[in-house]
Amino acid sequence: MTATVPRTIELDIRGQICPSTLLVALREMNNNIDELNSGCARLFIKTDNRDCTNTIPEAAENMGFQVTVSKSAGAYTILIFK
Amino acid sequence: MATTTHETVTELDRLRQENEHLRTRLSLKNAYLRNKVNELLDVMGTKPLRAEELDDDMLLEMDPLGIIFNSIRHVLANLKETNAQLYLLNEETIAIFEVADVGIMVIDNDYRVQAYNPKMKELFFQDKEASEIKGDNCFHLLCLESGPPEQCVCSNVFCSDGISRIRGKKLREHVFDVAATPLKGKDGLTKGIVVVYNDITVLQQAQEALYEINAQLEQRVSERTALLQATNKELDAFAYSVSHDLRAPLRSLEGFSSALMEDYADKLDDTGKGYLNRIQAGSVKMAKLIDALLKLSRVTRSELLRTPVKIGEMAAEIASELQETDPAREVEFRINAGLTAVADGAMIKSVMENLLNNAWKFTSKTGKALIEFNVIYEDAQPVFFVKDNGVGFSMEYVNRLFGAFQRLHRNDEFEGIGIGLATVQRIIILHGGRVWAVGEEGKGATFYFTLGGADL
Repeated sequence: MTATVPRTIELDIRGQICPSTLLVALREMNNNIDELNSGCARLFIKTDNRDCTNTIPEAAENMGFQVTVSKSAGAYTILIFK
Repeated sequence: MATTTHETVTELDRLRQENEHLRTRLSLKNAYLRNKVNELLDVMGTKPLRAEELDDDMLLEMDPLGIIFNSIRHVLANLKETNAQLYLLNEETIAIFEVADVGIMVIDNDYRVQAYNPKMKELFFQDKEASEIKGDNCFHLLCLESGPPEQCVCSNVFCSDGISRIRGKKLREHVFDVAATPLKGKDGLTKGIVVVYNDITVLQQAQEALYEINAQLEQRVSERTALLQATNKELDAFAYSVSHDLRAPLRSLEGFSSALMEDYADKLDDTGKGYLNRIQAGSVKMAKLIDALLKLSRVTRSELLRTPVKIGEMAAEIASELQETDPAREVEFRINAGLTAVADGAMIKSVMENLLNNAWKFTSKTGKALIEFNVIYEDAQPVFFVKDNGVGFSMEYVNRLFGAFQRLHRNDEFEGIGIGLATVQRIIILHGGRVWAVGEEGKGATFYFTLGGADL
């Protein structure tokens, strides 16, 4: 049995603010929903908008995903995965 | 011509009006869309769309309504799956609740009973209707008190915010092990408590009866042991005194038969001399037997004095002495000379002498004789062994090996009086250890022993 490493989908939304940050993130999740749901891919979002570190994780969790948020060098990274 | 121009102007005005009307309708629809999107964004906890960020053209192009619609579709799918899982989990909980052979009760933060299982009803609420139980305080229903009692498992949970147990709680002439655990909401706050009552009345009675039986048994064992020890001491004293007393008449027998042989040899014929020789040989053997008996009885009369003993070096010395008794014999000794033990030095020397002497003796008819002394470990405890490739013995007779004066071989095959292994066993038992043997006729024998204390 071999474990496959999930593909990382990167989404850089630095410079954008609410609500477009949430809409762009949701659109990316919708477009890749099958891969994300099966665990074959994970979504890696870079943002500098603090508001969306609440809205995106909450929406993603409601869609059944796990979310981790971390901060480094003035930007936030939100990792969405099954 | 004038008519045509007029008609054109009129048509243009109509088109302008229609265009204006359409623009107004489009603007209203866009406003409606923007409003609905904003309402949905508000549901999702984010800010409304800003016109400067997303104009009407961009609004249609980006299709936020479509994005949110699709997202909500996925949220609903996830909710459906979560609901299915919750349903199954709820069914499992109900099944456990119903079938559990312990009383289970759920209370809220005000000690009011919210739910209970059939066993709980059987234990405490047999004479009550459901309407009388649900909503009433548990301290009132169970403890028959007007408030939480001093030793209350539920109060403990509210104070500690963790699991609490009370063992041996007496309620209604029964004894219970009670355990309670908080029910926490998603916010981490305690919303209620699950309390479990395990009726241990019968178990406790059985345990008490068992303790009583054990105490009686120990008392009987202790009495019998004392009796046995006294009898053993008497027996040993008897053996010692008999052996000692036998020496005097034996000396007379030996002395007078020697005198007869020396002083009256010329008056005896060969048959008479033969009889005298046999009397002397018999008395020598009897002297040996008496010595062995004395040695054996001395073992149980001695005090055990444990000290660190270089048992490996001791074995090597004995092997060397044995080799000196018959330098012509080719015997390979494989001795782990580094072994140590904590034992009575004099006694353990007797054990090693007996075992190695036996190995030496019973390999005397073996071509390439091999005698080994080493250690193995069983459950981290050292087990010493003396192994040889001599005549061995049949496992059928293994139980006779350690009996006094028991011999598995004829005296004309191998000399001996059958007291060595009995001595070994007594010494090992005195040490609190164990001795046993494994053998096969014609293949050799291995004697294992432990010393009961801290070895090596």
